[in-house]
Amino acid sequence: MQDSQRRAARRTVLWLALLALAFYLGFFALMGWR
Amino acid sequence: MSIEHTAHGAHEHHDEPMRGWRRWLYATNHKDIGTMYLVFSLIMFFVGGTMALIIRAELFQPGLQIVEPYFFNQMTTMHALVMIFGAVMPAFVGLANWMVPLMVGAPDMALPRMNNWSFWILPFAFLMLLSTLFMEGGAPAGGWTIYPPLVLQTGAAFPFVILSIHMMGISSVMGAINVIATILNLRAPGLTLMRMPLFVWTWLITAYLLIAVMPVLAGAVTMLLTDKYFGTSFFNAAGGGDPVMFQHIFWFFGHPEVYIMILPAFGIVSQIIPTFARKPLFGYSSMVYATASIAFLSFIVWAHHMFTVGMPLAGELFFMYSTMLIAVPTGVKVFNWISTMWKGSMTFETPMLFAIAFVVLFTIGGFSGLMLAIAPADFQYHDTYFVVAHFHYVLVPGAVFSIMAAVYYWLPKWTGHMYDEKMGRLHFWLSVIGVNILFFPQHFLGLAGMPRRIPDYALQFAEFNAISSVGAFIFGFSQLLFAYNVWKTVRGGERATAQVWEGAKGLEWTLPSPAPHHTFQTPPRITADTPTH
Repeated sequence: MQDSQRRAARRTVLWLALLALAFYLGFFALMGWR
Repeated sequence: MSIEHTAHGAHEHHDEPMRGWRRWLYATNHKDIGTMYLVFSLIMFFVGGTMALIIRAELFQPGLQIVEPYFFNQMTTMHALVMIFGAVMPAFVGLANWMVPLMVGAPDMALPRMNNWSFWILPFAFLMLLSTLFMEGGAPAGGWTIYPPLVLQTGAAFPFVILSIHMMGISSVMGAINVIATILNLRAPGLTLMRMPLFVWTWLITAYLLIAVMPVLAGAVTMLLTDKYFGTSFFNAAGGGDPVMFQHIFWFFGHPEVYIMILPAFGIVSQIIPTFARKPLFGYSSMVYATASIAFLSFIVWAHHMFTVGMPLAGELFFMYSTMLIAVPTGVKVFNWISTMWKGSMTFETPMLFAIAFVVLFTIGGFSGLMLAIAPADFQYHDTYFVVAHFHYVLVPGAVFSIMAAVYYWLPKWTGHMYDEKMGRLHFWLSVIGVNILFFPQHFLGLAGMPRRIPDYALQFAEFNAISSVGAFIFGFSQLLFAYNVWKTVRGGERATAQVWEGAKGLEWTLPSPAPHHTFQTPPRITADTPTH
């Protein structure tokens, strides 16, 4: 694996973590709404 | 950085696998880890299958013959947990480990050490889960859906079950992160997303589902744990909580989970049918969009599992219609598979037989799913054997058949040997006949009102239950043929060519059989003319 790929993979993991966070925040916001 | 430094130094010397147990315990090679997942899954398949045969043996006749009712309930619960989390999911992760890097032209998975960890969590999780069978109060017996308040009556086993579910979840989420990181970053130059094989596409989408819903399950079971041991009242009405809330949270996980177990199967069938029909897949892009649509819809249908629990009419209608909507992208897929076969030069080797059986029998499961989606009708079907028949049709001749098709299809690539075709076909016919004798009569039982999860039943259900049990033993024991055939192929046999199948296209078939320990260390160049799927 090239270094650039390694860095890109790490960046993907970070993005996934952010995406998951946004998903749950959105979910809880919807649940709390009403 | 020091990590990169050591990784560079080590790269040159790791062309040969380590010897002995170290190769497996310290494995970072995607092929070794894939093999471990698949072997683990096969073992769990037989463990869960034994439990199923205990269930079917007890149900062969009305009355209580073989096991205590409480043990029967432990068997239904454990059978489901073992099959879902121990057999089907790890089998697909194993196939992803083996095939995704080969299909996208990557040297390995993007995060190989995490890959090792993902796998090695599983044996411990299942050791813990299975150990509950020997505990005071026995294994969990409230059904795999672990609804409170019933599940809170579990004895010493309870925290073990919760922790093992946590471990399975962690393993799945790490596996999913790895799949996404691999597919998004390690594709060979020129292999655009819309040139990826369907198996890679379906797994990419499945991985997103896993990341979205496994933590929801983790949250739900943690709330159960604190309700039982720390005095909270999340699901306790007496303390201001709501047991129905558990069902909502559980099925918000549970329904996408169903698709986690079927989308990779769609991917496998979309690889196998074009190969043996010797035609490109019909409607490639519509397959991708259909998969994505099914994944999206999977998040907004969960309460169709709870129609009888009591919901506002608007809720019943919303979940009924959104559920029926899933038939549209699923229909697109079924029609695409049939159109791929249409006027193809088909041959019927074992993988193709399993793939065709998948299309037919999964569709039966899909149709009974549509029947269950009709809210007013569901009041009759709910918690009957009709539901059991429905989800076993989508999971056994659906997901399990696709896994078997995949093993027969890629086994020559993995081992370098052809499997015994005659034995493969015998296995197929025994399985397909056995599985229908096993599950088809359960539709009739359910429509006649036989409830699920019971060790005894009224006399009018006797005939269909006896037939179903005979089918169970035919299906169960014919799987020994599968295990023997795989074992024999690993040990030796006729040499397989690189392409293996005349109509096979894609990067994995450009490699020699068996695929060397390290592959695509230099990524291949892909152009519009390279057949990648």
